[in-house]
Amino acid sequence: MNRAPSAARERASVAMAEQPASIHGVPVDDTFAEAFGMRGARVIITAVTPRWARQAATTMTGFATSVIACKCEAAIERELLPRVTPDGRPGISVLVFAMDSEGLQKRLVERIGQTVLTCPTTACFDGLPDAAERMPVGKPLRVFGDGFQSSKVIAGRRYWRIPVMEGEFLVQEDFGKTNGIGGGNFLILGESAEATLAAAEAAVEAMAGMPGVILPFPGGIVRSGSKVGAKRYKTMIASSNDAYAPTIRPLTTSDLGDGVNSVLEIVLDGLDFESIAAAMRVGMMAACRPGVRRITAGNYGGKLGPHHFHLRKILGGDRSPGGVT
Amino acid sequence: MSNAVTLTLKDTVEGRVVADSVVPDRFATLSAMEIAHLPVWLTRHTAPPALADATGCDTDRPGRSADHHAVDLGDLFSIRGERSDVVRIQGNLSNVDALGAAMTGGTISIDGNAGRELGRMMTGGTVAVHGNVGDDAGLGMAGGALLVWGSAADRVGGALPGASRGMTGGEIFVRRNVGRDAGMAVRRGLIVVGGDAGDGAARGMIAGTILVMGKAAGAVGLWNKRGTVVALGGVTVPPTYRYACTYRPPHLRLIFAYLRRAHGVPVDDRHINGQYARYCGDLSETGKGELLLWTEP
Repeated sequence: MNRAPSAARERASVAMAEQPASIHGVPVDDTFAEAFGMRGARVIITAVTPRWARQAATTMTGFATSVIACKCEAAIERELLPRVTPDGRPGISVLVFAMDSEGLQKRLVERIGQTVLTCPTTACFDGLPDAAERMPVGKPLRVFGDGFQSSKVIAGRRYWRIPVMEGEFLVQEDFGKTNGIGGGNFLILGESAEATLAAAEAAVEAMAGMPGVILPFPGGIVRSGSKVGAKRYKTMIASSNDAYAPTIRPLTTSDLGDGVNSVLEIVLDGLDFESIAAAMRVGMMAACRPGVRRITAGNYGGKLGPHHFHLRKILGGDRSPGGVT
Repeated sequence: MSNAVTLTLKDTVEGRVVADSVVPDRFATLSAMEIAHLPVWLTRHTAPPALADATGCDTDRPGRSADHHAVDLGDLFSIRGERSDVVRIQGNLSNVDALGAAMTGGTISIDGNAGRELGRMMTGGTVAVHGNVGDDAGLGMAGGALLVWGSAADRVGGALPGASRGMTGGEIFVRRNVGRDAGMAVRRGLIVVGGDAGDGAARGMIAGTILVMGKAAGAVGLWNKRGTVVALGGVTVPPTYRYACTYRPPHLRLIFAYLRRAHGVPVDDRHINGQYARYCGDLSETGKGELLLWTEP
């Protein structure tokens, strides 16, 4: 079921000519979120009921929060009504991102093979049918049929029918892949853990179901935002973002400011810059509520990636990649 | 350049006409004068032109039997428009054969009946007939779509004489009935029959899908290798097929959804959501083909 526009999203739809320094009295830093390029795919999972489609999607996107250790980032994009799915059944759209094409294809084969093929009543389809770049997914999975598999070409696309104990698993032979962006983000700095969590939940609720974007972390929220590398342990790719960790405020160069006792981060991956920018705008506006002292972003001084999401520009309605510095 | 080229049959023609020059992607580059001078073939005998091609040669035009003679397209049809790959044809074309032969793109729309071998060996584009068609529609076709709003005679999607494969791609939709041997030796593609199918449907089928929404008469799917025959209105299962199970084939939902959305085919919800008895066969071949019989709930 597609969600109805929330009040926050409706507010965000109002064009804002200026670049606001605050929303509802909450200051927004003049900074940018730094994101990096990824390779992305969209997977459509259908099943006999929304429950089983969601079950497969939830299982498929488990342990896929960060490429740092999970090898991919994945989450549910949105629920799909039967009238828009390929086979007319309830469906879920999932986005999967990896650092390169080879990794993306491997993760899809692994995850679909272990979590969608195994789930009762599901079928699995490509959600980027217009993507020029293709990768085999159903093709390597077909051999699970041990020679009893068969294929059908329907509307110019090949699908594999893999016999299983329940009946048949249907999966599309190849999936589209495209350039995506990982690591769009903003940080919510609050007076208390409760107020910060409530603001983050409001942001996630407002962004839910927006097309082309996922929030890969648990419930869409990160409590352990990281910085690039580590000061003490040189082999670490990432370590705790000590500048925003309140318990060590006096021990490090803190960026918390007065009255901030908790910080949560919203991380966004998307198929394009515009989708992430639109979601960030909606999320930030929803997060600016009582108990929130400031909104900022993970800015790593250009070390992380080339895609820069300027918070104030985005709040001003600028979703274009022209926002890239 | 025109929006469309319209051909209107001037008078009733005796015998048969082989109009394999009426190809929309060819028309796209021709002026009205050039279109009018394209050759069509008049013949007194009634053998299918492909068979005539295989058996006789004209003295001046290789591949034509002796009782063929060529006339200009403009002698039979009045022509309006030029340089367009959209072709509209009007008149009773029941004895006009091979329209759209080997076409690779564009559209032919026929307002009335069409003759034999409609869309023969076509690889792309669309042929829509608002009437009935003769034998061998979609003969050896490899792509594109053939839409027949009436009935089709024998050997829809079949093979050229002597060929081991019939249709190797594309889609054929017949809203009403088809004659004998529909989908004979089909290698790939989709044939949808809105009504009943005559005897011998899917005979020697190699792969692909045939969907019969009415009744399929006689022996169906004999010597089928890997093809799918879907019967919604009942069929006699050949003795060389074996029952496997009754289930909801997921690919059928996909086909039905596609037929509804892309072609407006009226598919009943009870067929989309229904159960199908699956029979594996033909076991005298590889046994990897199937008959899917819709079962009343």
